Amino acid sequence: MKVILFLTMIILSLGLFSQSDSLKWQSEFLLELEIEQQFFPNKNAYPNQRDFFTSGAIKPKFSISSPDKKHQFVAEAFLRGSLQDVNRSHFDIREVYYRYNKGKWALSVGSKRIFWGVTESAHLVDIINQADQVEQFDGSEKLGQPMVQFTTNTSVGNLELYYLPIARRRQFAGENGRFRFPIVLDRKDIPFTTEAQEWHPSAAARWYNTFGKLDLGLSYFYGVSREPMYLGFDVANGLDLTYPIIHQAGIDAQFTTGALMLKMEAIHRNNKKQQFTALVTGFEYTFGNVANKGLDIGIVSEYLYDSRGLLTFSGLDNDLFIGSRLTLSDIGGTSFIGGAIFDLNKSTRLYRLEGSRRFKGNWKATVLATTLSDVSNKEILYNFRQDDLIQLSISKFF
Amino acid sequence: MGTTKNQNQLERWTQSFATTIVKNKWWSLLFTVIIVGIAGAGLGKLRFNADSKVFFSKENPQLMAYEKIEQVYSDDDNILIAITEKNGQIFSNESLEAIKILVDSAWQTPYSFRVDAITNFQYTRSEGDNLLVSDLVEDPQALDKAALEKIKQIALAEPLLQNRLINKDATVTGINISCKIPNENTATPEVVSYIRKMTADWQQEHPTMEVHLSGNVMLENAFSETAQKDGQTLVPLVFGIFLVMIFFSTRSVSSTISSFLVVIISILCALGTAAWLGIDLTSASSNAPIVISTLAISDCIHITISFLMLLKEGKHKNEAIIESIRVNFLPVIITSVTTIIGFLSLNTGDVPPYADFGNISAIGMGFALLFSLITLPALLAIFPIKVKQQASGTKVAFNRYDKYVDFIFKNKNPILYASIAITLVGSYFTVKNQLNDEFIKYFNASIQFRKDTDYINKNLTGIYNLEFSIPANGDGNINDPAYLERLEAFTNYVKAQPEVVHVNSFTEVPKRVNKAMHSDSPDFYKNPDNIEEAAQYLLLYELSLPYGLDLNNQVNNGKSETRFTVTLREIQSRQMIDFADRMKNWLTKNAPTHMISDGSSLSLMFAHIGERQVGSLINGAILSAILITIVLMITFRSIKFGALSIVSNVMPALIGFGIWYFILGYVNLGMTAVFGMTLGIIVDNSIHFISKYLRAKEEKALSSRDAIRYAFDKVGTAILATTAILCLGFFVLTQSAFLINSSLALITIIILLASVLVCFSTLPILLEKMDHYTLNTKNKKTMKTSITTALICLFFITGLSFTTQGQDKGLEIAQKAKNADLGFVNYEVETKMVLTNKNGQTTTNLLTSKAVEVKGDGEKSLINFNSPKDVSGTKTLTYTHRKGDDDQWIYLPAVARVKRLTSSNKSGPFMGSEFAFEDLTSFEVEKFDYKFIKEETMNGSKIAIVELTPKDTKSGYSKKNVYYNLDKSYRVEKIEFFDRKNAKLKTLTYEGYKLYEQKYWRADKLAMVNLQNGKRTELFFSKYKFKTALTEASMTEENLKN
Repeated sequence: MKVILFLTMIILSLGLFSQSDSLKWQSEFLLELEIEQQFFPNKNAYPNQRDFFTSGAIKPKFSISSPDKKHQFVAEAFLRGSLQDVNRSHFDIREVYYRYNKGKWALSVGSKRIFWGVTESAHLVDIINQADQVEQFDGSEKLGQPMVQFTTNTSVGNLELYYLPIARRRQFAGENGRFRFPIVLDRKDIPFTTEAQEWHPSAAARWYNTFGKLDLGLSYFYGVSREPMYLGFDVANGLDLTYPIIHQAGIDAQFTTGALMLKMEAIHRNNKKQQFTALVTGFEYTFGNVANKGLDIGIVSEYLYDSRGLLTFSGLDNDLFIGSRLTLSDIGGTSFIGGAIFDLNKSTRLYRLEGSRRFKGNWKATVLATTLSDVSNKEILYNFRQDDLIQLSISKFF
Repeated sequence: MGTTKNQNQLERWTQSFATTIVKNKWWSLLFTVIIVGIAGAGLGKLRFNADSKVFFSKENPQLMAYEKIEQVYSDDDNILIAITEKNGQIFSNESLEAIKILVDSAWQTPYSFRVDAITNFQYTRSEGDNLLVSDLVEDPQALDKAALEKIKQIALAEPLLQNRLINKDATVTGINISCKIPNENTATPEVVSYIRKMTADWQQEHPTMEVHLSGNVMLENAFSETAQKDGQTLVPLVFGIFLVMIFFSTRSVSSTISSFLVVIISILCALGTAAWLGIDLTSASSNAPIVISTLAISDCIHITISFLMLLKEGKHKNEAIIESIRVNFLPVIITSVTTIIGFLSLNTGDVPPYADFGNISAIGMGFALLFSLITLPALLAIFPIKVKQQASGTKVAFNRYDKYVDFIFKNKNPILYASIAITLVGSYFTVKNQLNDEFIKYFNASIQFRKDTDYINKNLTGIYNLEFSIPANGDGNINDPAYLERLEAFTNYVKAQPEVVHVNSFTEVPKRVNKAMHSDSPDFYKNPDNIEEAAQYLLLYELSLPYGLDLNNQVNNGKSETRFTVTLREIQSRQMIDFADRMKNWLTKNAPTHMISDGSSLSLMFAHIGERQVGSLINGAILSAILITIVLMITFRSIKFGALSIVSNVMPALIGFGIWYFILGYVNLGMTAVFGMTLGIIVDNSIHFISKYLRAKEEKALSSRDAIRYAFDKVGTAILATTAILCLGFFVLTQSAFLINSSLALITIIILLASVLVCFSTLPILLEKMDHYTLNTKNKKTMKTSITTALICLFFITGLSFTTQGQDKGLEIAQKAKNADLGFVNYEVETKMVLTNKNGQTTTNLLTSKAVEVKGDGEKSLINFNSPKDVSGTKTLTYTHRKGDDDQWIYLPAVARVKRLTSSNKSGPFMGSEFAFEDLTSFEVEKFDYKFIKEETMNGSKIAIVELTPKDTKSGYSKKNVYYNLDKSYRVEKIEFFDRKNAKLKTLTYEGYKLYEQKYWRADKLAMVNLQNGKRTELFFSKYKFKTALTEASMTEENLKN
């Protein structure tokens, strides 16, 4: 609560400041209210797991910037309340930062969300933020990450430097929730491997540049792993999961020519107990304005490789992703995204279909269905074999 | 041991490969002969292109401006003959007579159409009420002293002559011959040899006369003569040195002959293949043979030296060949691949001859690789080779470099820190190098053209010039007093500039004629009072001019534009660009819109090209450095050693350019290619060294220090030998009279030496230090290597397309419309988009748009979505290019992600509206073909309708008719869109135009009506802001996120 109070004060004081200034500071306030209903048609794999989940979320965002855009302050919060799963009810400050922009370079202090990479089915090089696992099972939602960020663009490319003073842990579904392991994992159950615990500092750097049709990025990360390291399962000790100190080097590249995009991401990560290389590569091709109806059809296919094999936390160790994106370019911004991931040496298949449309101006409806089939019992995903999902959410934007 | 299966496989494969070659040596030789036969057959087609315009790609904007002036004023090439009378007596009967004779024979110059000199200057005066125009000197012999003096006074007072065809002291005069030289290889030499013979003959008859020749015909000739001179003197010399040097370092006749043969056939095949591909040789690429040979030698030396060393150790000959191939196979391949990458990086520049140079060299490297692995071993196997075997084979092996290795490790800290310090100092001075491309300085003082041009520069007139074609407001309007008055103001402004030697402006003509029409009264040395009078006078004057001396070189056919030529002192290219910008700025500020025009000239083109070349080449160098590092990481199967090699690869270049600052202090076009080129060559050293070091550690299980000794022993000699050979080869090239080549060679030598130094001091120390930090490195799968390799290949696939289209009045209008809108720098605007469906229901979207002009290219525009709220914060960044696909990025705030999009989807609707993406991006002239339809009057304004056909097949339109308002700076009033089936699809009307910044018309409202589905979209613009703090640099991916 203190944080909210502090935030409100900052916002108020900035608001006052903006009024006293003769030049106008530009501010914006956005609010999204969402109601979500989830339905898991398959019988629960573990005791106490429910089939229906009802929840609601509040997502306010405030931003203000000085007339010359030199000073910028952004705050974005997230609150979800779930009627069935305690662990899913959570509050997070997605972003709250001050950014000083000097044209050639900029410095941000505070909590931010950072995205790196180019591929669609997995985000290997993307490492700065912890995943908000309870919010989106696939890791596409992220927790805010406190940082000092320095960015600069030079004639030889863009450079980003990060100092990340604290590491955050992942939260997992509670006893009633789906997408959980046989044992209910709490945030605190996965230990850090350093004495400093979450206060072990991390640092990261990324360079990227565009060479005509080629976009190229190189990145390096040192510090506390965001993804738990999974070293196996035994009955006595349960899952062997830790947050180790890692070094990770990454490269991402995209070659865009006409309607075709070739994409590639690769990382090499090592720590005292494990080192591995992972790769995602593939293409995306867009058929634009099909039959002059404004319909865009994108075809995506990517190959995923991870040298950890069965120990791959995401389960994507030798998989093929095939997907398609349909955009109607209509007033409602209707779009469908469908995809399937096939494990090439095991039987596991994962399907996902998502559709969304805007209505009545500021309303938006989203439907999502995911299913896991023939899950190999060797994989970590086996724990979620019963967790097919149908989800409907409706949002109102203010 | 960490040796992977993969490596063993490769070793086995190499061994069996080498064995096959040695066993089937005659077949290998036959194979070589066939390849050489096929590739070499192309040599017959090899052409040399001396046109200085080859230095510019066809779409180069400055070249386009330059060629336009050439077309309009039927002016292509010129020769300037400067004449000096040894006693300073130009205005004597004899001298004038001699000049007149020379002028007469100058008219006979092949392809010439005009000759200007003081003698045939069209002297305009009044005789009674009549206008009299005649040659200034008609009969030199008949002139008495007073008449001579009068002619001198007239000539010196004449603004058109002074500092152009006569100097202030009346000691040097010029004859300017204008030619239209056809695009044939023989034409320029024909003209030049005629001129040379003519002046030589003339000088014999008039021994007191001195002659200097310049002009762009002479420049072109100098380009090709210098290249020929290099070819005739330098190339044979280089090969002589190579022969000697190879023998010196191998001390074996057979090895020398074998290596030399490989070098020669690599060059022949490279040139032959280039000819097959239709690549012309130019003065820039004529040195490719020398570069290829230096690199081919490095391959051969490594193989032959290992081979000879093995022989000495007592191995059987065939065994020694096979073993030598085995240990050198990978390094030689990697070396070649990285060098090829380095050379291909020259393609990123905008200068075709350097791209050709890079490509020819890359092809040559490919052949050198093939031949050194197939032909060289075969030849070595065929020739008898004798060496003295050493008494005790292996014991002596570690001795030669022992002392040296001990020395560097004893002083490793000082050496390491010194090298870091030197590199830092080097990088500091590297950045301080200036960019300069004065084309006259491309030739050193031994070239007659340079001497003559310098002389003319000093004694007669400037050699750099800048041409403008200044439009008046419509046909015949150059006589408009308002136009003449502005033109004169501009002339006076330009004359007052310190760099300016001479200005040739049309304003002189009407003033002179006006004065002559009023009994030569000095009061009438001014512009005629009204347009009719001026037009009459001009007509009268034109009728009085003799054939060949008409006004066509100053006024266009429609009498709507005049030429404005500024002659400049010797200035650096950076100042040249500044000067051109300053001129345009003055026009923008002080002249009406229609008069604004860009300056152009060969020297400005060279100035611009240097600037732009550097930017793209730096990118190319970075890209190739990264690619080479990745290749090395894969080869060494270690990120660590790959990263280490980049240190030893980049350090020499930084040190080299640092030293260069003290040698010349500026870099030219040619040298911008150095980094990409030398990177490939110097990578050799580190690859050979590191690979031998790793081999010693893995195969022989030596300690780090012993492995370094081993590496020194195995490759130290070869590295020194190749460096010595390469340096000598490039040293010969420094003797080239073509400065681009000589400075390129000199900097390469410096960098090569620095590279050896780094390789022999810093690299071993770093290798040893690195060993202390070893983690368990070798645990990698082969799969990732093959995938990564495949990917790199994929990423290499690039396509280039060149299209040029004809011109038309439609193009001219579109170009003028674009020009009228140029220079807005940037703007920001709030946009409200109202979508109305058939039933009249509306939806509103709010957007904020920002746009910035990109110099020499299109525009960058950023659209920020404000409403509907669910997409609030989404932004798109579009970078439109004059040529080729646009670039587009989108920022999705929900996941904080920037994505690059394909730009091919331009015909789809924008947010469900009737606007397609392509309707909202900036208009670029180059993207359409034009057809002028008609002119009509609409709402009291003159409107031109032009049909625009998109060149891009992905456009949703077959054509669009654009209504340009000729009275209002060519602003667009209406556009009709036709779909792919040629049916009328939409109409767009522009309403509520307002003038911003006194120059830029912007509509308040754009209404798009879809005629086929009845829907409508209106855009309302408000809060236009121009010239804000927004810059091109602030429109990047990074700025999308905030």
